[in-house]
Amino acid sequence: MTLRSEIHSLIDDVGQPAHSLEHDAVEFALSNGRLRNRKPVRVQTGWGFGMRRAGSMLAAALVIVMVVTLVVGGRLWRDWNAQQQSAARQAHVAELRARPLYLPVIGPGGPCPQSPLAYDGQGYFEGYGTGPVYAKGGQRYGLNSGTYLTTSYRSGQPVSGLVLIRGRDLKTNQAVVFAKSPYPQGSTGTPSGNVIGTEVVLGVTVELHPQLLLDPSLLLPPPSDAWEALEGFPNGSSGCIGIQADGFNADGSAFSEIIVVNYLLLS
Amino acid sequence: MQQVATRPLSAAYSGTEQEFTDLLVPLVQPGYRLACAMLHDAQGAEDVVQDASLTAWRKIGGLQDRAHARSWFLGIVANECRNARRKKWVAGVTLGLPSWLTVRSGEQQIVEGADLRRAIMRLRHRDRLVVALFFYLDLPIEDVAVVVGDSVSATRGRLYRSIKRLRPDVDLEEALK
Repeated sequence: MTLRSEIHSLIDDVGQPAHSLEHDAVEFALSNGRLRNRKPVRVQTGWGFGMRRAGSMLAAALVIVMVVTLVVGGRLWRDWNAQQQSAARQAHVAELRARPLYLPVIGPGGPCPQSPLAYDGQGYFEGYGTGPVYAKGGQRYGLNSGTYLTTSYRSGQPVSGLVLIRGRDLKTNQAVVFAKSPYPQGSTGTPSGNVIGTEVVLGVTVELHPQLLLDPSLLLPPPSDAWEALEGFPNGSSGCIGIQADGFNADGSAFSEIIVVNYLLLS
Repeated sequence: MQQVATRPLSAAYSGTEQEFTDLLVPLVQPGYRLACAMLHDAQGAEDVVQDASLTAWRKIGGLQDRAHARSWFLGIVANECRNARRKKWVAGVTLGLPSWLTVRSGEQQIVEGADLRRAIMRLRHRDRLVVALFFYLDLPIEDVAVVVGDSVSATRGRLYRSIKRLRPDVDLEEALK
């Protein structure tokens, strides 16, 4: 059997006589494509072609429906989840902000009640405070609007959720402002509340906020496990600064801690 | 060798529907056979021929010499076949037998035919076109070259390469019979 006869035999099996095709083709052409004549689909090899084609299209349609459902559903779920988390976070922050300030008022000539120094189990200085939050000053910048200090906040024991930081000068009653550290070395604190001004620190413009949030989910592993931010004391500040940290302990109990630092002593 | 039946056409086409009908009718079956060879799907081949007929009607003004009507129409059919294959989601031919199944005796011929069919379908469009025109429509290589739009020598080379792909062990002289 030659290749030619094999090919003839092979294709003759496919191409069954199309008796009226001349008429159909001429009619289709002269109608400008409006009158297509189609024969009923001839099923090949049992279930064969038609069922396979229909099955393929059905399967493809199902896949498309599944993909669209997953994509749209996933996006809706993510958006809804993010919305829920955002709402929960806002409620949590609002609850912390609602707590009263317990910062004392010190007379003009009164002593500044500096908080004790705290050391960790290995004798390393953690900062000022009685826990669970400790504050430690770092680089100081004298800027147009006042004195700014890079401050690290560390929690000596696990806390549950956000910690809100607010502060003021205990003698002049001026509010302490907070900003993102322009060149953070570790974890970063999140300035919170409305923007009340801007300042340029090391060539970087930062926004000033009345509060700071310490978010445990943003805490990096040791040795970077302290939230860093800029604290600003306006011109005329006495340097006796009171910080109130509000949050919840790991066991769910609330804490409001007062940390007092006399920055005049630090200069 | 089976020859495609065509009426002698010498005058340039003038454009009436009757003339187009007279021109097209003898070309429909060769077009259908070519489409069957290219697609291995009778229903698809009928659709292709109808589409090709519409294209021919729209482009009939470009046909300068009615003596070339057959090559011209087969070229249109070949192009429609290429478009039809692009539209298909799944290209492939099966006889319903799993590929790993080795069947001897009476079914061996069917399986071998399936192998050849698969091999033809795996050829690139122009290679398959050359094979179909030469072996199935029995056109001389010069006419095949006109339809494909290549030189005769290039078409002959394409044909030889395609034969080697279909039957790697076959003698070319034997295959060309």
